[in-house]
Amino acid sequence: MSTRNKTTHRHLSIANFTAIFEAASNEYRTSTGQDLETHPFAAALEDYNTPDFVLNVYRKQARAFDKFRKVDDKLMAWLTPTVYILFTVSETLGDGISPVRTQLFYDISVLQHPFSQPFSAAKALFTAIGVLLGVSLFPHSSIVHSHNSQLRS
Amino acid sequence: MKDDIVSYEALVNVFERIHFFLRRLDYCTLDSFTPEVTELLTKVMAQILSILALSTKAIKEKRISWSFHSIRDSLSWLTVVQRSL
Repeated sequence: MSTRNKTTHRHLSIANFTAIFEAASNEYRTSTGQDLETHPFAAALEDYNTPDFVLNVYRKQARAFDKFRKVDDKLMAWLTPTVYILFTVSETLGDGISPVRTQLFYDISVLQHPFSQPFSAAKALFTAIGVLLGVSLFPHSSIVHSHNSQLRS
Repeated sequence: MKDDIVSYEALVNVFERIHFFLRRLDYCTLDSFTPEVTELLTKVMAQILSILALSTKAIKEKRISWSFHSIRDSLSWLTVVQRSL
């Protein structure tokens, strides 16, 4: 395969990736009524760059729950390796782990302009995990509101 | 209180299943990275997002058993994908 063909193939893969994941994000929004881009958890993960950063946000959430109910360590025991693997897979895919907007410059023959990937798939997944933790650990909206304020601070 | 415990157990179960699947996937992705694998991994990540959506919706609506059936179906799909990697 020539270098140009490889480049084009890479660009098409990124385009497929974006289309597939955008469709999944839209389905998520329809199903849960939550927007992964604007959810407070997305803001809490704004500067994430390591799995430990993400896990600390989850730990903070679990600790807040601990004030109301006793939580054992089972949850974090499953979450920790899951977050690490998602990071690895995401890096393999070239998904923007970086907290800044990722500029993906397409071959001019594929698309006529640079393409901006505003929201990484990994961040969407980590936000979705946080939302699931929220609805499971904080089923009562007043607690969720108070908790979301804590996450933002 | 009983509902909260059921929710918590369901949550642990969801992450346990996702973890077991991803752990096997991790070994696959380290060696073979082709455009076909890229597309499959993308679909896997999208499917995991779908599982998280189903779980979130089910737990919000306290339909845990329904959630488990849907999650089991989604994880079956993931297993098929994994075998093709």
